[in-house]
Amino acid sequence: MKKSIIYLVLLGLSFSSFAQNSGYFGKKNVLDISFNGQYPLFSNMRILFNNAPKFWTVQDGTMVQGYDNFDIGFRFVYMRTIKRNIGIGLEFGYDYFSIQRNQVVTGFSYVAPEKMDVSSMSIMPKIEFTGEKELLPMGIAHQIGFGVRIVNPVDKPYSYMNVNGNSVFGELNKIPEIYKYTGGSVKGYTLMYAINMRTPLSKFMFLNYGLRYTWNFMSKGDYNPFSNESNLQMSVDEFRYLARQRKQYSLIQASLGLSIVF
Amino acid sequence: MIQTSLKKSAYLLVLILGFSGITSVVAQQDFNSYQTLKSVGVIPEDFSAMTYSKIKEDIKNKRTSLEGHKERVFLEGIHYSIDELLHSGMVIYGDEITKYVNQIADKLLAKDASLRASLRIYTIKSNTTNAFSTDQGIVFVTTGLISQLTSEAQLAFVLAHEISHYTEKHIVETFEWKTKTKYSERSIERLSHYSKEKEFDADRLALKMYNDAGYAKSEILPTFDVLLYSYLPFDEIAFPTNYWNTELVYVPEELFPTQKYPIKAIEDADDSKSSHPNIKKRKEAAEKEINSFANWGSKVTFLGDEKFKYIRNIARFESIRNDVIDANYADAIYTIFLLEKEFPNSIYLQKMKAKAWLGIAQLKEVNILNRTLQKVSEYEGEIASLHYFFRKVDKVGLITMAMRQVEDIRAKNPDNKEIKAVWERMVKTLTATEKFELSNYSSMRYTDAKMEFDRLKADTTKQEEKQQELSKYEKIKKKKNKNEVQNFEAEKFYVYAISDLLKSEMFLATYRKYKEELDAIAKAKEDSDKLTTSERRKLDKKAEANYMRLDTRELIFVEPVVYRYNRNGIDQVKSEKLAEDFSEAIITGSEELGMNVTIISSANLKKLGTTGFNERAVLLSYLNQIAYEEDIDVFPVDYELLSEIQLNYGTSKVMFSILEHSYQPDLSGILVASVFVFPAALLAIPLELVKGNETDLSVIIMDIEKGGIEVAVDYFYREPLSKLSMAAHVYDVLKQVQSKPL
Repeated sequence: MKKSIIYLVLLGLSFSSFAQNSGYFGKKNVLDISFNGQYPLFSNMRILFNNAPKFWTVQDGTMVQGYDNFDIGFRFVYMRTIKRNIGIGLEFGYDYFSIQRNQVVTGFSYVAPEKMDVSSMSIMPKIEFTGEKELLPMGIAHQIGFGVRIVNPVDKPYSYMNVNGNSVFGELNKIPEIYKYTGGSVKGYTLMYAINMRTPLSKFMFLNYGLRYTWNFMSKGDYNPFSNESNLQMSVDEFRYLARQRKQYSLIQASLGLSIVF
Repeated sequence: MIQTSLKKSAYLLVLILGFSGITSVVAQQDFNSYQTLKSVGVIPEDFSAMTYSKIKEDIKNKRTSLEGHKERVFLEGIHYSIDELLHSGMVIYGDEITKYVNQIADKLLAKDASLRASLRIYTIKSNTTNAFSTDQGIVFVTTGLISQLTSEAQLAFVLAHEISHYTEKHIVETFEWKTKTKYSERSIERLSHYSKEKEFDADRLALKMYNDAGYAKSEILPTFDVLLYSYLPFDEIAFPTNYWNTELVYVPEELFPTQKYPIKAIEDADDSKSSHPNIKKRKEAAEKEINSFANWGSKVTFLGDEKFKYIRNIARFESIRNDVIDANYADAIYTIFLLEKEFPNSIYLQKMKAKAWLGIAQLKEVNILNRTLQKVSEYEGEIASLHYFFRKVDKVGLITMAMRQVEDIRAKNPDNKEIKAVWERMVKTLTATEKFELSNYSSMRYTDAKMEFDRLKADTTKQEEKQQELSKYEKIKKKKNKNEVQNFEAEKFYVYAISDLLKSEMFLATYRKYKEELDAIAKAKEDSDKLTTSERRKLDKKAEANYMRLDTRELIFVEPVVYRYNRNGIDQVKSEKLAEDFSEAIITGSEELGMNVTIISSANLKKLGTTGFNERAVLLSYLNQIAYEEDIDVFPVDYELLSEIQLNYGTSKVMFSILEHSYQPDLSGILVASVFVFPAALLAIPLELVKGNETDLSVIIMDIEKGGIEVAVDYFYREPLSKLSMAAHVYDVLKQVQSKPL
């Protein structure tokens, strides 16, 4: 066959696709279940290059300093394709990360509080789109979403120790009940862009993977990060400030999961 | 969008059962009702085996003396190029020509059974005068070569030459030579010299084979003349300037050239960059060799001269079809002119003539006829006068002439469905021709008008008196009236050419039908121009949405092709394997929709057999026709065979598709940029890695009943290629094709 000639015909006569939305084998509803993780690169770069406080964790009855841990989370998304290359959806996300307070001046000594675990829940409507001639939900797609984020401290007993410079000494103490954080959750907004690929595994399932870029907007509150905190109990402003700062540095996340189409 | 209603299945079943099918036993051709050659018998492995399996087999059996990478490169190159030819739809097996050539090979190799057994000989439907052998033992002979020869012995000599190339392993040797030779400015000359040595070698060995078989030496040198002049038609007969003159039409001689165009080919042509020595050198070498044999036979033919001429006529009949496919309509008309003396009652020649004239009219209508004609500087031989004529006549004149010719053919064959279909298309073309108005034509025949004009001219006094009696306005009207013989103009010969049609109810009704269609289109355009932008957008959107909705549940899917690109170009082996996946994906996608899709492709020829092979060839020929002249609505050369296919499969919709895929992420720019703007790389690199997949799916759907391409779409997406992703895209295309228009 004169493949080249046929190809020329095809090129010469091809129009753009004005196709209808036929989904993936006719299925237009998608449920994404994915896990996302992130190495907190920027957060740790601040520690390395900007003298930000290292993260204190309890280990073998004492506290040790280290870098920020791997963040994890998962999300559920319901998406429906409204055109062959456009879909709209609602995403529910849950992330888990840590924040670290500065040393606290109590009387004549400094104490280092253990890093605090924080969960973050987000709900965001999002739009997914791809090239004019592509076919959602399959293949590569761009996602943009804007939603609400609620950040909560994880309620568990935290520790502290006396500290001299970067060395802890004395006993490992539990933060007394009366100094526990009681400020509750803080709210903010998240703008998200993701590039996501769905590779078909069967007629009803995809492997989905991609990268997410998020920008988190939270009120700064009335908190001065340069003043030495003297209260072992964290204020809501400090919590908001630290959570905001930490989320601002959570720019890139990788995600991996499964998608079911129906 | 016009909807095609599908045939009722019961009706179809009756038709299919009663149908002879495209595969048939070889029957003697009746040239009066000639049918194009088809393959016959069991499909040979050469056609049905997958190319990658042939390569694997050859590597396993160490077929060549080459080693390692070189061997793979050679085998991939040779197998993929030969298989592309075998699957082109132009190559046939088991037909009368192929059988005849095989019989000659039997004679040549009567004493070498093992060599004979290793050879496979096939025919290519092509007007190129050529024969060639391949490294794997296939010999191809073109119909163009056979149409030019004057004896069986000449064919035997050409065949012997090609067999010698095979026995001497010239192809693999040339490949090896090329790989060892460093490129330099003199490479082409050196390759030419090397190649010419091989040609002399093949001629020398061919002469021995030819001599051993008992053929006469008198036919050897004329064979070289055949090759020298093979670019000309198979005969040199002057085209008469009165060829088209009848009672109804007269073509002035001034439209033909007054001079003859000499034949330019010379025996001693410069061959310094050619793969073959010039004819003079080959003749001289052959003459020396001829004299070295003492025992020459006297046979010009073993199979009989009648048989040779019969086979040659088949090849000549095929050459017309080849010309029509390639839009060489002027050449087709000249060949018909040469053949119709011997076959005046051939319906095939009539049909082809009608198609050629229609093609000429269609090309002229869109002002591109000249690109299919010889350039003035290339005029050569008797055929040049025909090319001259087609260049010289103006658009309306030529299209009127075409109408005249097609009408004459229809009138002779009033019940022929195919000719009627060509005629209808001709009327349509005539109607669409700019400046064509029925009122510009005379209802008088040329001869009557001429006679009357001459009579009036003689009686000038009477004429002048009559003129003076008229008012100014009557005089003007009279001057404009083509039925007034005073206005007779010999050079406007075509004004009288359709006088009979102006009185034909059938013609006028057909003309009015197309005129109304054209007027409706013009009115729709006019109405559309009056719409507001948003109204027009709405209308366009509806048209766009309906573009692919064909409301069909049956489809013939021909040759799904995949091209997988790597850094060096097409990865042939991967592409072929992916094409198999693509076929499976088509089945998956269509089954999901409950559609009845038949795949006719080179990958499933084993299953389809010769019937499928022939059907595929017919469909590809039509596609080639469309490809050659995409600017016109070409009439299918194999109209009847396409109708058979439509009946067999219950659909007129035929789909072709090419899927191209490459994975080539380009990180170089990003890596350089990331040195300066590190965070940007975090965004750009993964993006580029994912975007590196590029897949392009092109689909065309032809309607073989209505003619032409109905849908042509192109999808571009970025995802890795898999059976499932291909199936999903096929599903998407078929879903739309299946839908009813909005």
